[in-house]
Amino acid sequence: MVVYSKRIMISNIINAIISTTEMKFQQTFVSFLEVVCKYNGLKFEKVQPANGDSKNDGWIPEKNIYFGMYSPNDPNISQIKSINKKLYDDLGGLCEHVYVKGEWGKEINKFYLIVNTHDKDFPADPDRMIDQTIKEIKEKYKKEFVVEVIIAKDIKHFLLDSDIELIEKISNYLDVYNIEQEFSIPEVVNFIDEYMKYLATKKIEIPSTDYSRIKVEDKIKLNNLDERHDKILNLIDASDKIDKYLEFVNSEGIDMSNYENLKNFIIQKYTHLTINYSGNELYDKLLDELIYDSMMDSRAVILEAIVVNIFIKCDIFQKE
Amino acid sequence: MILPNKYIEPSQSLFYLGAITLNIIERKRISLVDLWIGFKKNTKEKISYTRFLQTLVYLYGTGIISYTKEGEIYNENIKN
Repeated sequence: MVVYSKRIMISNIINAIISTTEMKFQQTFVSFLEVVCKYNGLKFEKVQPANGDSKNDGWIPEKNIYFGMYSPNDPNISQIKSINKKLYDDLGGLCEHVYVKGEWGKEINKFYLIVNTHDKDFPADPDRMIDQTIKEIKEKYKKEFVVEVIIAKDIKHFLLDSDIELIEKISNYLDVYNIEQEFSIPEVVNFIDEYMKYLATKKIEIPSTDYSRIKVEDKIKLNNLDERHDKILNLIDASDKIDKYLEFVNSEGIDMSNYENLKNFIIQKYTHLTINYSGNELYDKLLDELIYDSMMDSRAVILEAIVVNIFIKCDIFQKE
Repeated sequence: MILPNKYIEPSQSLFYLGAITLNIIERKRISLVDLWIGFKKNTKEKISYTRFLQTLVYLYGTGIISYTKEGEIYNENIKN
């Protein structure tokens, strides 16, 4: 198994999950939980939602840990009131099945409601509706258990602390590399604008460059990037999109300084890393260092496309 | 932005667009509207009005073009 940048893999996993809605989200997140549980020696039991799921979207029987999932089709619906209602319906319904009807494990130790807010943070809850709902349900059934409402994109914190082996298993199981990674020019514009906020406090030097270039295949061989050969070639179309973005910026007369800053930062980072790294490791380390924590929620493929674009233009990696 | 490089196509650089503009102006005095119409006809790629204005600013800033009180643009180096 070829090991790519850990942060790129995490970003791809998060995008694979949060880009889905409704049933597809549930299926994808359940697949994620299956891999994580198996890796940790636990059995995760899937529950088919057809014919009613008895308010259980999946659980770990040996630990009486239950999961509920919520990802409405309209991302604007994910407001605190609708999340609270979902929590009330699912947790209340689950308690009814477990404590009154004696179903499932007959006990709840933990309940997690996974909410897909896509790329947004958890909505504000100044009236503490979620806490009130949890308290109300616990009092109604006179039971004590742990309840957490988690937004899907925050699994990145869990993944950052996880072994690379687990991340690879999740990537393969979710088939993240075969998910269409299309992006538009406005997305590139937004991505670069966002990245500028991260670069705001960083000192960026202007590198010296020249106009000489060599063919991509030759460059891959010269820099011992054979294990990244397919990945780089797969990103040629994405790199062309960066050229289209540059065409758009230049023909519209839009200020190019944001892109210039990002490009110079990438070249600077690459130059610094060449002291200790080379070949495939250098390529992966470069991507790892370019992705910052909150960037992992967005389209890392755009960053990779920009890196490959600069690689093709021979401003990073050797050309002789 | 002014000169082409690896990230700016020659046909989108102000240097190239400036040459196209001077070719249209030739030895005459020309209104902004006529110049813009001529510019659009002579550029193969779709260049925005903003970019066209940036071209005029570049040419004016380098003393290559100027304009009359009536707003007609002319080549400063070839006066009628």
